[in-house]
Amino acid sequence: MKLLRARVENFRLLRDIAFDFATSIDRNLTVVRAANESGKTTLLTALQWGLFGDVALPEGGKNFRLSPLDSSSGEKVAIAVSVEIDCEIPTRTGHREYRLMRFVTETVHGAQWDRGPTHVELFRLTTNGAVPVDHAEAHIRPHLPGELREVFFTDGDRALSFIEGTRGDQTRRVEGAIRSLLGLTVVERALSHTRDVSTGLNQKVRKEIGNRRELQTVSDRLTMLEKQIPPLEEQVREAKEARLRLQDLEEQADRSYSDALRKGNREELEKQRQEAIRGRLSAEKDAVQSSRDHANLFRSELLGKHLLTGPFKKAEAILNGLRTQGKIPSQTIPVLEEQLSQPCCICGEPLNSENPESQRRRAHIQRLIDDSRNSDAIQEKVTGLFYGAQDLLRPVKDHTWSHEYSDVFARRQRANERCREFGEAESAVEAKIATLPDVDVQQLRTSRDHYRNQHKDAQSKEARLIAQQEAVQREFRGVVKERDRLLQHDKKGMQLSAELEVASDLQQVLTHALETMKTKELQKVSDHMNSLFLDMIGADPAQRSIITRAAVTSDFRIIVFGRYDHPLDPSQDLNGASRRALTIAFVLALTRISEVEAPNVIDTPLGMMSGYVKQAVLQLAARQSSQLILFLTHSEIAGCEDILDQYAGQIFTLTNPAHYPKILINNPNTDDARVLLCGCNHRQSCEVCERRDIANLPE
Amino acid sequence: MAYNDKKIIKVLFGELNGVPERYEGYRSDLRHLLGDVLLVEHEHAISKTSVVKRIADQVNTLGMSLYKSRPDSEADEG
Repeated sequence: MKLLRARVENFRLLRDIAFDFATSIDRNLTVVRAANESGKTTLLTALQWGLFGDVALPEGGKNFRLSPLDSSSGEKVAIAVSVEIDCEIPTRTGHREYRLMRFVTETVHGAQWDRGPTHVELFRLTTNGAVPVDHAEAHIRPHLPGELREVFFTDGDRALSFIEGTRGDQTRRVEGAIRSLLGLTVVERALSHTRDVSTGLNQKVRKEIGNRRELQTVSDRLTMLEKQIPPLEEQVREAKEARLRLQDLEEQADRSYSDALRKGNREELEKQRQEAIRGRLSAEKDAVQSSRDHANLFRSELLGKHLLTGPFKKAEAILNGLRTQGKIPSQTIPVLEEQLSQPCCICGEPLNSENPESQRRRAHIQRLIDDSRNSDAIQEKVTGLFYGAQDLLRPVKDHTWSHEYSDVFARRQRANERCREFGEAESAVEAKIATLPDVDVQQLRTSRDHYRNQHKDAQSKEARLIAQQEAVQREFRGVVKERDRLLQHDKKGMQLSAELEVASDLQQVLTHALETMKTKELQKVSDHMNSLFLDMIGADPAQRSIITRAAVTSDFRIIVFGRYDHPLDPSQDLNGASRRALTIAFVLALTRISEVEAPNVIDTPLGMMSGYVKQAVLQLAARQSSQLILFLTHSEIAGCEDILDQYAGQIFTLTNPAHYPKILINNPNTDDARVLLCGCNHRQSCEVCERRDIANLPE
Repeated sequence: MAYNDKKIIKVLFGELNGVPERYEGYRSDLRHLLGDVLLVEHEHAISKTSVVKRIADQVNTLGMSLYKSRPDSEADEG
């Protein structure tokens, strides 16, 4: 979706303004230049109200008056407020232009106001004029869903909600944005509906082939398992949320505990404690990894080869025997045919002369081709088996697997030993702290321990539920297999079985696609965000920069790492400019990886930034967005003029006449509260927007 | 086409390679079915429709093609 133009009437300070957005590929940037209190945030709110409705207003619009605050001096007047936005939407048959109009009437009596119902209308813009479209909201929503408002429309502070607030809130916001932009919701809905189709087919099995007891039993079991899966999924989701909430509380409590220790001149103890915790966490990570590697060794092909050496040797002898008897053609038909068309054989002897030897060789190759063609189905299977099994039959060194096993086992032992050592060190420090007379330290320690225990319980509960869910899913797959086997007995059963197979294939594709989106695609978002973020802040991990990388975790958190891969808390350990750069990098990466064509509208993105970071953020944002709309103050623009020359397709300036005479040079001669729009770009000024000593003016 | 269809379609179609070619052209037919399911979901999002029934009908059509592609079905029909 691209925004083409907008008109705003009687929306607070915006009495009547209309403008076009930049839409070309190489100049996709629209800049609204405005000093503070000149309508930037009002315009951002107006655009969001136009596209999303009352939900985009502060407090849902409850106490937020839309009409100009000076529209009634005493008598009762009705003010029509409207926002009209033209946009281009991609459809299966190409791009279409639409006009979305949202309007409302406010009855104003002095400071009192009353708002009527909001109306929304959608028109398709064609060469023959504007054609009304029914169900405007329903049509527009799939292209601009409400949950993406924070991704596409960001003011500098609200954008930080992706990395600030409680862990649960951050996760929810990041997950919501990722889910919506990558389209997880629509795939989940399709999966749920396809499961309903399978349930319906299973009921059909019971109804139509119900007299066969075995099939009925299997079908009953399937119905029961199908009912168990959705509530289990819900329980796992709730358990994960609870675990994250408690992890958050534990970390908060531990931070307070840590602060209290530092304040109480216990720095040395706190240092020892932090070292022990860091060591324990790193050892735990190694222990988990080596335990996974240990388990994977038992699933490896290498182990299979070792265990089946005897049978494999027998199979190899049989296959080689068949080959010697000529029952496994050594060449494939196309290769042999190719050989016949050549003047020389692969051995270098001639094939094209008339002498008897050439003739004999040609006849031999032709015989091989005929033999291959005449080979029956079994021979074909045996041939496939012979060539397909070459890798499995290749001998393995006697001790390869046991060497790997010994390595992993030793690594696991070492990691467990380190866990124990650091755990003991931590306990020893905690024991010393426990003897301190500081009351606040002891209270905070008790509180931390309380949340730590609850967190551990929540972890166990989540793990239990995941194991339960996996067991049900395993059983479900087994019963499905059994039912499908039983259905192969008659025509009706086979028809139903074919339908179930299709539904199952559909579910498989949808399930795997969901998994791909949650893993591979999420990783792409994470990698791209990292690369943009490091470019924006000019960090080079190879040059010992303080920030080495940023990532989106698999549980949807944005995290940052410092030197030696130490995790940093983005909300506390990053400066304001880096925090904004990180959230902008996340939004841009998500938009890019999801391949969504949508406008990024950002209010004062460059505030708190200067020099290199400011220019890098602006440049990267313009390059990465399909359409970028920035609301910038004069000081944000300062130093970035060349970049705007390069990328901006539309620039206009908003001016607040109330700034005369302190900031503005010329008297705009307006009586009411309003902002004025002029077409001046970042290098120009006119009678309306000309400012005094611009370089030294406050914003 | 909704705002993120391009990506969804790319990922979904990529996963089709994991499905066996149950008869010649089966994956291509399943690909069409996936496209239709997505369309049905979008239409359902705009105005509520009997989405499960519509998907079930499409599954039934492809199921019949799969059934008919099997040698046993010919024997049955014969």
